[in-house]
Amino acid sequence: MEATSDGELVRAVLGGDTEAFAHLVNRYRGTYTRFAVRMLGSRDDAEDVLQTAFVRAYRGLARCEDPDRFGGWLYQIVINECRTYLSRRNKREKRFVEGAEASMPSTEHPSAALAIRGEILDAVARLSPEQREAFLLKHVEELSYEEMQRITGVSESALKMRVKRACERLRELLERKPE
Amino acid sequence: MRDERSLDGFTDAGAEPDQFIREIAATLRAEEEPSAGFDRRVMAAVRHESATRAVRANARPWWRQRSISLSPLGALALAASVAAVAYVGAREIESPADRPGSSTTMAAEDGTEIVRFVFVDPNATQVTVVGSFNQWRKDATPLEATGVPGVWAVSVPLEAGRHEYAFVVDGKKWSADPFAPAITDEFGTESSIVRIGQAPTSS
Repeated sequence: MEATSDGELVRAVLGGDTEAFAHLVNRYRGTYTRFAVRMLGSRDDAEDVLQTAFVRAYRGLARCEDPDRFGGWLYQIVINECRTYLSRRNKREKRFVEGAEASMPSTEHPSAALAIRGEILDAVARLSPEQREAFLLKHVEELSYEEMQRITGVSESALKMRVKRACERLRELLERKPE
Repeated sequence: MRDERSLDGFTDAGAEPDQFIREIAATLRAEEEPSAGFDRRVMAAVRHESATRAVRANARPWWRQRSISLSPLGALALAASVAAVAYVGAREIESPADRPGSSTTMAAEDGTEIVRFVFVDPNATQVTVVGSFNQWRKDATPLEATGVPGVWAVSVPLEAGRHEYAFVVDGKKWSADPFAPAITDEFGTESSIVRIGQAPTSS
């Protein structure tokens, strides 16, 4: 079943084989978990959002216009769910720093590498959601601006500006000398 | 940490990202796998959605009829003819040895109890209970006719914790338990809740 294309799996689900959806979940959970964890700064929040995104995808599967590009379509849903979740959460609290730290692997022997990783996660968490989203899609997920535009619905020029500002902000945060 | 500046992290249009951005991206690109059981939880939610959608699709006349029959007399008649009760049957606790097919993850002190689901509907020809404990599979847990006309029941061992469930009548009518706490999911479908013992605490 691993070699089965997205299109075949989508058509199988639409034909009544609900269990075929499990293969799509398995196929995309890794990439989208990483994106959601980086966006939200919390693994628990990321899993909640991803679960909702997968169920919404299942519910709206008939509206997936190109089943062979299910992954990109699902990306749109994941991104929208992340935006919605952040919007709600930011009204309640500001806890990106805490969330970013919580997403780090626990260790009894913190190393310099982990300290740097923590600084990077902290800096990324301090970006605006729009900048963080654009930066992650461009530099971490390595999408083209054309793909980003299609997935996010944001113009290419606006995306470039967000990535630019994200990079500037990250430099500002990570190059700041300790006081 | 960086060796050159650029606008959006690239040294020039179409080129590789500069060193500073590459280092950040490499850190952020570390794999993140969802926790154990994520797929199972997603698929349980998907099956729940599938079951409720199928029931809705097959039961439009029932939904319409239900929506226009809630006069006081109608409600009394409904209460008299259709009732569903889930209760913990005498709090009968199984010994692990009596639990064929139990997951090996269930410890002897897990607090599993037998829950008896009872549904009353004189017009039903088939009743099943669907819930988080059977992955919302419509055919997994059929109720049996008890011998009393219209009364259906099944006993199900449930682990300690909170479980959601609903009844499906004749494969097309979705019915939450009117005598149990209710929960409405994000898609507007009402289910019921039963709690067994103490919910396990996370370690």
